[in-house]
Amino acid sequence: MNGLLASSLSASNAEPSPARKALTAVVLAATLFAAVIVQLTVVNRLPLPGGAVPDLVLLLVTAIAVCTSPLTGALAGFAAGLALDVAPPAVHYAGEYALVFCLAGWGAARVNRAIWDMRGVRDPVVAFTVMAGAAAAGEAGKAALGMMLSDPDVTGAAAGRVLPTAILYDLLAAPFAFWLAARITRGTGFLSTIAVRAPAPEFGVEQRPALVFRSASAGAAPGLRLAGTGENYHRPQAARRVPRLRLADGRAGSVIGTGGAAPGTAAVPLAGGRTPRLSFGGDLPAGTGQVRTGRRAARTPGKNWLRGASGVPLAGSRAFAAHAAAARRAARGPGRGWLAVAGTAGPAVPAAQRASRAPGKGWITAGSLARPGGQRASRIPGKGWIAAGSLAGPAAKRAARGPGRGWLHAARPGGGGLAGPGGPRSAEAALAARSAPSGLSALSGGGTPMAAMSRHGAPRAGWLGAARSAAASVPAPRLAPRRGWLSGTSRPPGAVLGGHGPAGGSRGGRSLRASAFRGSRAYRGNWYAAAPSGGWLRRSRRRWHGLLPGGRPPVPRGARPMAKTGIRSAARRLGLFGGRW
Amino acid sequence: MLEARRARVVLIGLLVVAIALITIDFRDGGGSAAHGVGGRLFAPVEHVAGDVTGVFRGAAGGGGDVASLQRQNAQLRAQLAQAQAADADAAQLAGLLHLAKGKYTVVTGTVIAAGGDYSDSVTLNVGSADGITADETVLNGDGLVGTVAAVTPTTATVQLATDAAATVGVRMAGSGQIGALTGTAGSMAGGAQLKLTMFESGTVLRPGQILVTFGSVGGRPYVPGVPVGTVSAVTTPPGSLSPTALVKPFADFTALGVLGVVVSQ
Repeated sequence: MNGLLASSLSASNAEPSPARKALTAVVLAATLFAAVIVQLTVVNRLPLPGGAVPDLVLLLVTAIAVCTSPLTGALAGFAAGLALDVAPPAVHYAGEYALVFCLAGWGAARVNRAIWDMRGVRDPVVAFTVMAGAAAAGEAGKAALGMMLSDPDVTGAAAGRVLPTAILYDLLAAPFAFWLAARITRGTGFLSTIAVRAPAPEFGVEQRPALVFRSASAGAAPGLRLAGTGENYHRPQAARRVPRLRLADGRAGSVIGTGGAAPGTAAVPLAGGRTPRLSFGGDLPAGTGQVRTGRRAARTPGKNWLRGASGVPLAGSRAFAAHAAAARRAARGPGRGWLAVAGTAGPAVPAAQRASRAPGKGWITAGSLARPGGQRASRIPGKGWIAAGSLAGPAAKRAARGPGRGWLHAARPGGGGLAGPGGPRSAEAALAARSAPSGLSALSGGGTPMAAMSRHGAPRAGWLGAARSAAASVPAPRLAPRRGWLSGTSRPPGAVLGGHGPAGGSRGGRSLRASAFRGSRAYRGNWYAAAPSGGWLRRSRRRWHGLLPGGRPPVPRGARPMAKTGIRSAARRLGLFGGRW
Repeated sequence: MLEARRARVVLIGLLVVAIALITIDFRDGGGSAAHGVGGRLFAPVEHVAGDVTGVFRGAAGGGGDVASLQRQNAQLRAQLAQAQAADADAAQLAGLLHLAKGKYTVVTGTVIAAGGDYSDSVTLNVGSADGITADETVLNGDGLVGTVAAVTPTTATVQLATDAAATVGVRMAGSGQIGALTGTAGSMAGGAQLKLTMFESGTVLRPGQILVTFGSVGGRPYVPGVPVGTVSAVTTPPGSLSPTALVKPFADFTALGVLGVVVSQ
């Protein structure tokens, strides 16, 4: 069952090709056109009791909006509304419905996304509710605009008579429109991409991120420290407990890279018996014996620089010397909110060179270099970048350049896939691939067809395409979280459900259903790998409970759930007050 | 974020375009070129769709006994209206109103589309290619339906008499007193009533009185003598100078099928 679900979800989650997207767009346009015609020729002529008819076009516009994006919603609304404005029976002013539908489509998608971001779960029920509300608002908007333009047909009495009935019929017809839109956008849209974000920790509003990280790093969670805030800045540390990332298949005890290529086999111990972790602040993990290499992070220009590397001290001192000589890191972070996480897992490598240059703010770079010669130059001009990659092959070279901000970039081409002649995946490579530097990559199983998923950029909020491909050499995925995402990820379904076997099953058909069950605990992961949007550190309704060994980590007192923070924070998320336009 | 900003930019652009369209159309009184363009684009598709749905309605254009009978009815109704008007005081009316001489020509068409919740309008599958122009009387076998509001080469948009923007001059069938009928919108709801306002203060209104169109100059937008409806309720407010009443139209606006357009010559 899990495997079946996983395969179907994986199939539906595969980032669509441009041709597929274009096809979907064409189908959407054709559907809207057909809806306009059906509305005019059939629905408007139905002698329904109450003197009103459902507005199929408005319903379809809002459904498409919640299934895709605000941009698509606005465009679809404008086009469909304009068609209704100028198609022959229309006697109202041209542009009225275009205005209303455009706003309805954009608003529906915007609100839907905001709610999804807040809740951390992409819930079709929420989408449907938002869609129905937007349709009702659109009906009201039609009446209001008609009255404003002193349309003789739209009087207060007429609106009072028509509006309730029309909204009622809209609600009755809404499931059909929603199903249609979800069906069309399946596999390409927003809704169908199963994004189970792990429950975020419950932090109080007044809780500061530093404290959170400190408390987290003191417990079972991997070492997350802000720069200079950890008490164990350079002190050796005892090996911590392995954070248990219970991924979707619910196998307790699966460690880090759950659901690997060979499910059911014993978990491969991590390199050095250590927990891969995120350590911020540019310090090497204590106890590794590594020295600070080269020119590292000489400048931390902004605040909230997060930067870390977890190295595994397997290599000898010579290797380290070479590493120190060769590893040159020029991190120039002019912005704030940088997070660079690099894990050099497996045998430490000489000549690993890395130059990350992140001009924007909110950068996250997480990578693990596992092989000699691994070279990586990621240049990410925007803010909110996340690059998480582990290069396991020799001479693997990677240059990712993201044009926008809000990109998230994660890839783990493991094994020798990148280099070509690397041959079959060795145990070492598997080991290295498993010891991901963070939960980001740990979410995806090694050597899985996840690479297919990350082939194309996911332009959505909160995407993390963490791919570890052992066989395929793929370009780095480009994923785009939204503003304020630290490492906003939505776990790919393959990782969610764990089973990566080629189990058959209907593709995609279960996406809606599976996403509806996402709230169950078995589907949760580690929160830091999948953080919700801005303010996620401080506001969250989700709990850690049961996610980590030893129960709930120390949640500071005074932590309040998101729901109590009131309408202002919700409005702030919606960008109503002070939001940038 | 980039995507969100782009969405906002696009949204604002679309809103500006929509408002500009509304403004232009408002200035032109609802007759801007956008409607013409839209009509040309959508008319063929609506034709096809109307034919398809007409099959299910049993009134496909050209075929079916019901359709042909309705067509006949519409034509007979127009002839009757003309004959009655001629009988009454042909010479006087003709001289007064410059009535078109000769026989009315009726072009029949089938309803293929209808307006939304707030607009009482339908589209016929005949247009200017069939000789229809704007402001021509539309009727069916029961009585007055409306007037042609706009035409495209292949379609004609009919503003129903129940539309709130429609005003029909009527006269009492017996007494010949004149008044005006205004729509109240909501024809598709069924049971749509028209508001009658008589011009003479001394007019006595009783339920059951029959109203026919008074006629307009040149038969536009209404030819005289077409039955409109019966007075159903007198609503004259106390102390009001002009008697008012509600009129139940003869035509069933919820089941419009074949309509006839009186084409002026």
